[in-house]
Order: sequence, then C-alpha cells, then structure tokens
Amino acid sequence: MTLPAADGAFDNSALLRRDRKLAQIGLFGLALPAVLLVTIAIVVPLAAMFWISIARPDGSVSLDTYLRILSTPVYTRSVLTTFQVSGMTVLTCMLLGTPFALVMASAGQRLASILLLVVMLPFWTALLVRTYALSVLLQRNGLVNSFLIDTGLVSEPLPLINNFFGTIVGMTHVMLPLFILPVYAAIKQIDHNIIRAAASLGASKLLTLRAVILPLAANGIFAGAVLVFVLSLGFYVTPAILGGGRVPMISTRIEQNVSVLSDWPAASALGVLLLLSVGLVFLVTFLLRRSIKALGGSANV
Amino acid sequence: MTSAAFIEIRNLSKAYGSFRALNDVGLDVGRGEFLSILGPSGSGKTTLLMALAGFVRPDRGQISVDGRDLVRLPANKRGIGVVFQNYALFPHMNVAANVMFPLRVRGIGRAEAAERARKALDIVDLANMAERDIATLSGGQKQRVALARAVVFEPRLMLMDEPLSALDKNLREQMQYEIRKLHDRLGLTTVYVTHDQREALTMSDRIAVMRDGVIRQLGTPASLYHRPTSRFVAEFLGEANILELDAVESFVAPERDATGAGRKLMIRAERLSLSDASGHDHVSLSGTLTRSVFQGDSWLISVDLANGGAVSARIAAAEAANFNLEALAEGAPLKLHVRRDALIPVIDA
Repeated sequence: MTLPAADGAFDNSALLRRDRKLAQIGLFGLALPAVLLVTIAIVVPLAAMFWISIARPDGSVSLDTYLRILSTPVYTRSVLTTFQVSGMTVLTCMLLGTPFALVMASAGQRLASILLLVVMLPFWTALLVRTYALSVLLQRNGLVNSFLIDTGLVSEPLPLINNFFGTIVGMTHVMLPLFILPVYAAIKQIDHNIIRAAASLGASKLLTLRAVILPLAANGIFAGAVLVFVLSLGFYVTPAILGGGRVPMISTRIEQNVSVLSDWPAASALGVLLLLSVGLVFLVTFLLRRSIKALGGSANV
Repeated sequence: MTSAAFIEIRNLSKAYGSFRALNDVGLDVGRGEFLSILGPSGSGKTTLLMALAGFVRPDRGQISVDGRDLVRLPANKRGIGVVFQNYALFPHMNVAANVMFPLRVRGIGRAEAAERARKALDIVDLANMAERDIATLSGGQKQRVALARAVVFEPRLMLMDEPLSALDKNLREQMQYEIRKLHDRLGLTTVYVTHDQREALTMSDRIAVMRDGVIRQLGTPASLYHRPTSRFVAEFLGEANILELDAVESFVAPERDATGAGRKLMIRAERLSLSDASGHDHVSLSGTLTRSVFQGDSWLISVDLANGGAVSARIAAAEAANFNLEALAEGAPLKLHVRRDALIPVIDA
C-alpha cells in the first residue's frame, strides 16, 4: 500500500487533540456518578448548614449565632476540649503505634501477618459494641477495677470512665489502627539496604532508628497524625459514652442542640466551626511541611 | 595458604531452609588485593559478601580479617566499607551529610567531618556537589557519593555488591576504571561481587568463580579465561566450544588415560583461525561451514567438524577480509587452525 503523496508532511496535531479531548470526556463520564453523589450528599447539605447558621428568621443574614457561640463559655470550652482530646489521642497513638509499626515492619512474614490481624481485628466489630465493651471493662466495678482491688493494688476503685482518661482510652482504641497502617507502610517502604548501609557505616541500632528510620518514616507518621487528629475533631460516639457528659466535645454540643434544644442555627454554626477547624489543621500541616522541606536538605546526625 | 592473608574464610556454610547458599567455602584475600566474586544469580556470591559485611550470620565456619575473628562481631563494629547495588544513600540527607554520616557516628566533630567529607568528595570528583539533594543526582553521581561515603572513614576493607549493574554500558565502563583507580590510589583491599564476567576480567587481580554455593575456580583473570578447569567456568567467562576429547586428531589430553571419563575438550572461539600456521605446535580441524554471521568487528562462523561435533569460531575482521569470508557459501569445506596449547581439557560440569 502506498500513501498518497502530500505537498507537505501531514499535520496530525488537530486530530490528536480531538482524540485526547474525547478520551477526557469518556473518563469524566466514568466519574460522573461519584461526582453527582458527592454534590447531592455533601455539597448541598453543607451549603444548607452554612445558610442555617447565618440566616435570621426574617431571612436577613448575620453572624449573630457565631458571636453568641464565641461568647458563651460552654461552647468555647468544648472547642478547647475537642482540641485537647484530639491532640492527646494523636500523642498516645504516636507513643503506642510507632513502636508497634516498627516491630511489625521488622518482623518476619508470619509474625507481621499476625500483628496486622491484631491491628485490624477491632474493625470486625461495630464501633458502638466496642465502646460499650470498653465501658464494661473500665467502669467502677468493671473488670479492670475488680482485678486491681482483688490483687490489692488499690483499695478504692479508680475513676477510669466518665472522664478525660476514659475518653482517651476509647479514642486511642478506635484511632490506633488508622495511625499504625500509614506508619507501617512508610517504614516498610524504606529500602532494606539503607538500613544495612547505616550499620556498615558504624551506626548502632538506636542511632539508625533515630537518624535514618524515623526521619524516613516521618511522612507516614505525619499522615497518621493528621488523619487521627482530623477524625478525632468530629468524633461523637466514644467521647459521648466514655466521657459520660464530662468531656463535652463540639460534636456532643451539636447533638444536644439538635435533639434537646432544637437550636438548629447553633448546631449549624458549630458544624461550620468544626469544618473550619479541619481546614485550619490542613492549612497548618501544609505550611509546616513546606517549611520542613525547605530546611530538610541539610538534615544530619 | 599462607597465614599472611588479610581475609581468611574457612569452611563457611549458610543454608536457608533446604537451600544451601554457601557450602563449605574457603577463600584467602591478600592485603591490598582487588578480588572479584563472579557467578550467576543464586550462586551464593552476595551471601558470601554479606557474611563478610556482617549482615548474614553463617551457620558454620570462620571469617577473620587482619587476624581478627569476625563471625560474631555486629556489622556496625566491623569498620568495613560497603557499596550497595542500589547505592543505599540516605535520601533525607544531602550529599555532604551522607558522606559525613560515618564520621559523625564515630563522634568526629562537625568541622573535621566536613573537611574529611570534602576530601573524599574531591577524590570522586564531586567536590562541587556537596550541597546537592540526593534526588537530583544521576545514577553515576549517586554511585560516586556511595563510594565517597564508604571510603571516608578509612575502612580496612571495601565490599562492593554489583555497584555498577544499574548504570548504562558506557558509564559502567568508565566507573569500572574509576573504581579500580580509587582502589590503586588508596591501596584498599576490595572484594567486588558481580555477575558480569567482562567487568570481573577488567577490574580484578584475582577472580573467584562461584556456583551453587561453592567456589569453582580461583585465579587471575588470564588464568581463568585461558585455563578453566571446568566446563562451567569456561562457558561463564567467554565463548567456549566444548568437544569430545577425541574430536581433535593427534590431541592427547594429559589425563586422558586415567580420568578420561567426564572430561571434555575446550577451545575458545577466538583461538580458532582460518590462517594456516602449520607446524607441530598447531593442529587443524576440517569441516564444513554451516552459518556465518557478520557482527561488526568480527564474524561468528559455525562449522560442523569432520570428526563429529561442531564449533563456533570468531574471525577478526582483517582475517575475514583476507579469506573473503563474505563470499563463502554455506556447506563450503573449511579448515580451522588452533594452537595446541589452546586445547584445554575441562571436567564436564
């Protein structure tokens, strides 16, 4: 077959551009159901929530509700509590989860699978069931206190529930797998030869951990921390049950406003504040990472 | 074996389940020597190197370096420089910090460490790249940083695990030359693992050829290439023709009578020639041409021998032109000549 001779070379660019455009439209078509769902189930309700929080009964717009919330100690305290609980949960997850992820990453295949199973096991049960199970363990005459009293370690039951402590235990229990998984993935990704190289260059195991493994896993630790923090900010079930009303989070205040006080504008305004908090967390972490990256080049022992 | 050897390896064995990675390996390496361990993958060469580095604990046997037993000494106490196949640089540190790492680990102050790192980078021609991020370096540059990092703390021994296998051919040849130059300059005893026979031949003082966890032959590049003792070593190091012992008339293998069984005759393809150099130090093989392939600098021809068997011969371009090889048709009768001392008896394994 011979192609017809042309005056100049054929210019395919217009045709190729059209093909590309068609392919893009096709791809968008695949995403359309999800896009519709997100729009209907998230964007619209969020807009409604925002509107309720700023609309007066007469239809005019104001920030009254926000000013009321920010000047009411009950609300400002619950904002503070929310950040305290979230921050503390991140901290306990880091302290418990990082060593666990390290052990998991350095264990043999079999042990690693077993440990992964242990991490994932809580997901097999409903959150509500697990939280009530924890309250059975932690209550005044629960398993933990009975054990402590029977063995004579304490004479009076310890207050393990209906307080900050109980809330943190429950929150850590829920969040720990979500923290461990990204950290484990990050450690697992480190080239084994890099760790060997550190040893061959004279670094002890502890120094290798501090100067090589943890810095290289920093992204995973960071991701896990942000994930846990953000999820904790809006968490409801665990603080409501294990906090026993003494750990008022923003989420519990929202629930009260909706179901007890029927104060929809306040509930909506709290919802918007929660959303803004999450946005703020992401903004801060973004800026933090950028500045760390800028400094990162000269990281040293 | 003399007791003056710098590295002494005795009866080293390591098994992974039923797989025997090292099977009673013994090896001596002299001070300042460049020794390559050559073998196909799974031959145990990397296991042997990692046992020297301290990352593999041998089940049996001894390793001593400079008279000191190493087997139970952890890797970070051995003072051995290791260069890895994929460089294994610390990606979160820049070039200078990577090279300073072994010095800082040893408690050397920042100023002195920086100065010594600068000198080491100077040796590998990267003095102007000290502040660069690892991610911005090319493969060759990364390997130079890895070299600088491995020599900066003046180790008593250098181990390299296929350090050039990720580089393209031209760069690889250049780095072979530079690594050897660095070795000569620092006088650093080096054990170099590779599966590339040409690389081993180019760089080494001696080569240990490994297969199935055993050192099959140890010797200088020329002795291994020209006088392999086994079919495996002969074929691994170059183009080898393997013939029955009686395929060449008038050839009497030294051990033919006693141990003739299991032995073959090996002739390197490039030792066969078309030029008639008759004399009692040459023998000739007659046969018919079955195939000839032009390969640029030479021709590769296949010849069926009259006495049975077939050989491939590499004919240099000049000689091919003299004999007008191009015009020769398949089936044409042909006479190949070979020096008697290029007929090598090998065991058939």
